[in-house]
Amino acid sequence: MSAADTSTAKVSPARPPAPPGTGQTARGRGGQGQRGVRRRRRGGGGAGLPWALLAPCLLVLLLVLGYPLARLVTLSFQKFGQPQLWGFQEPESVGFGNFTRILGDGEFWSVVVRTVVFAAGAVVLTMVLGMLIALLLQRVSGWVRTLINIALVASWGMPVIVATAIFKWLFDTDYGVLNWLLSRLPGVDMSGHNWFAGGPEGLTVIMLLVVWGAVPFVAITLSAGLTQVPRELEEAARLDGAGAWGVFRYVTLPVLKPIIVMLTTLSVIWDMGVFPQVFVMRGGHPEAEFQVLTTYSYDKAFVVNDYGGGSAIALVTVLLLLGVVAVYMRQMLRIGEAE
Amino acid sequence: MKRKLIAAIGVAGMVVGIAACGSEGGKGGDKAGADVKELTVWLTVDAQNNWPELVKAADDAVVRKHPGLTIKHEFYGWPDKNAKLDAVLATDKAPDVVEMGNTEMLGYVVNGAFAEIDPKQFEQSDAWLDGLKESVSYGGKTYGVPYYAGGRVGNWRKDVAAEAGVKAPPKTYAELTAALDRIQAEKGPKFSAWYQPSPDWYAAMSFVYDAGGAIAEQEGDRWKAGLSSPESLKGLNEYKKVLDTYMKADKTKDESDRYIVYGQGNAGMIFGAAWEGATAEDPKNDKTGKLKGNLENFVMPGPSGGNLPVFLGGSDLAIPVKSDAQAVAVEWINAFTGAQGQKGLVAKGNLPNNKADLAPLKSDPKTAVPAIAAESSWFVPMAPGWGQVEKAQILKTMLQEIGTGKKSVEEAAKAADEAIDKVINTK
Repeated sequence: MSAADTSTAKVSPARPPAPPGTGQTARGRGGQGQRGVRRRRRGGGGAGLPWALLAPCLLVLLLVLGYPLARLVTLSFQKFGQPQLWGFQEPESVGFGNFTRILGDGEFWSVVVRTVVFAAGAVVLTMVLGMLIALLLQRVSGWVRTLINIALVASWGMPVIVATAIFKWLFDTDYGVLNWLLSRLPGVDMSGHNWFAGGPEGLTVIMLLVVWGAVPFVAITLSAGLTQVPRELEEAARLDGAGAWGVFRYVTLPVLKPIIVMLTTLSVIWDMGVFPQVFVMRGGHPEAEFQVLTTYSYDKAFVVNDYGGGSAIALVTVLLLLGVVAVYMRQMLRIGEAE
Repeated sequence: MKRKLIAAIGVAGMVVGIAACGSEGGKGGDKAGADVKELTVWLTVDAQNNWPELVKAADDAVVRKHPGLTIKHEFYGWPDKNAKLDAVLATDKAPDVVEMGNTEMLGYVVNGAFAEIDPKQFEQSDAWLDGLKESVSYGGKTYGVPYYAGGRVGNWRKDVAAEAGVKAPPKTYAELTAALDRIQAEKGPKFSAWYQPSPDWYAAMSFVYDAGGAIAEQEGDRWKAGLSSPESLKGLNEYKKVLDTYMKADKTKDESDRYIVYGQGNAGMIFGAAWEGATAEDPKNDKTGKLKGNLENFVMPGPSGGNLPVFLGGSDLAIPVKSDAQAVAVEWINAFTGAQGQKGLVAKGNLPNNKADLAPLKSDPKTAVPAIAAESSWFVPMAPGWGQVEKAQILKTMLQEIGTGKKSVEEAAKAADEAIDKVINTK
């Protein structure tokens, strides 16, 4: 089996799952990448047709994403508060004023670091748990697999806000079921323990919620990928004396690598952009220690009414994420080539 | 799981959605609005839940004078109210009457959101309560009409007090703490003798003002934060002592669900708005059934000897500059907040917006407690940047840090002062 064969084989499951969990942008960008490549490959006559077919989609993208992005960029270079919003004053350009103010603000950097650590933790946990569940799915009997799949899809299907509210109850200080449960353990008294008294501990709880919501997609995608790992390779490795870990490390992982890279980049993008989980969990007003880039940007724009500053933060976030997006795009293009 | 690629883009979209309308404002049209067909009134859910009949009465009175007029109502919750208002003011479909918390008025007035009004057009405007009158005035002009006021009172459970051998409500702070100590000892460490949510700055600042401190003070035309002054620190330390000694529940929760927690039966006393006790003993909230008939309001005594100065909360009604039915809006406000309306509001346990109606309340046993408590009151600094102080939750953050013990009182107060000084003088 040639390298090209394996990579095609493991790619096919990767592509369909990408859209469901993804936002508009991921789908749009992914789609464009693939189609762009295909067009180049087939080249030749009727170059206008693909564009004509793409036009409606591109137009929607332009309206839904292009226009807001353009406004975001303009806003971030303006002094824009309530009087400007209400039309009593013309917005005035402040050049890079918003950016220098933000970048020179220690609080902004601590938010950036917090966001990165939070996202990194969530991504690693999601990927490890997702992989473990995917491996487990391969080894259990049919009906157990069905049950696990149902559970996965159910948690995937739960609206974020509902899930967040339920986690909030679970972790409630005075009436939370978790404190009650832990207190049942001999020698443990967790009654009245406040999970959200401090940022690190509270964000860990929120991270669990994020991971809980993200694992199903990863697990299902990976288990689909796992079905494409050639049995004979595993067998050969085993004959050569590889243990379970060896097989996983030297056969399974390399075969799954493209899917893993894609899932990881997508997860990074999602987890950097976590908003409702933090926002709702902290009752709409995350404390300073709970602010991540998205809530911080929202706070600046809509709560403190510094729309210019909020936009600048959002733009910096986008720039930070561009690096990750580039990795994702590269992977998508590569998959396109392999086809 | 519907997740966005980058929530930031979503946020950007929202900024844009609102901003895009920004340039269209100010069309106004016929400001006098003699021939308007529609009046839009935005009130908070309090009116919807507690006194819808007063709203109806005001509607009827105005419609009688303007046959064919439709009055549309929207009721909004306090937490997301201002974001919603900001957005609608960016369009030319601004509501004609909006309710504002009295501490929120100034920020909007400073930015030119509300139309100036002539107080003479409104009944009893010469007797408006000082705290409320202050909240609608800026630079010698008036931009709103006081709607109602709300004092804060102590409320405790007579049955719990009796269990601990306390018969009468406290008259002095020493009596109060002695009683709470006995209740705390009697009910054990999982019971809050005084359920006092840490971030509740209305309660905490009462201790600060009682000790002679202030959130901020005016020096010339500049405001300067004053939470680190020795007086303020004394008040904050006393507040911290209350939290440490009597507050055994979640120290990060704010006061918005206090009456619900009170109804769950694990608290002996609260210090809050006068209606909270009554709402807690509503069978909907009274989970143990022990509150009904056992609650008692009392005027909060303060550590310095007198009554604890309470925050004079309340609401104002304002007319957005962009309203195209300002004349009718004035009529509606008058019908709603005039003598008749005040009677209805007082019957619901609120304080009236004027002194004339307040006076008789003090001698009526049913209303005496909140009316007397309101005599000793404090109000937020009328500084141009006060709205930002409130929006940035500077006081809440400080109090939560004090409550959870994350920072010492001095450190937390110093950090809060710095944060306040940064924004309090900017519009």
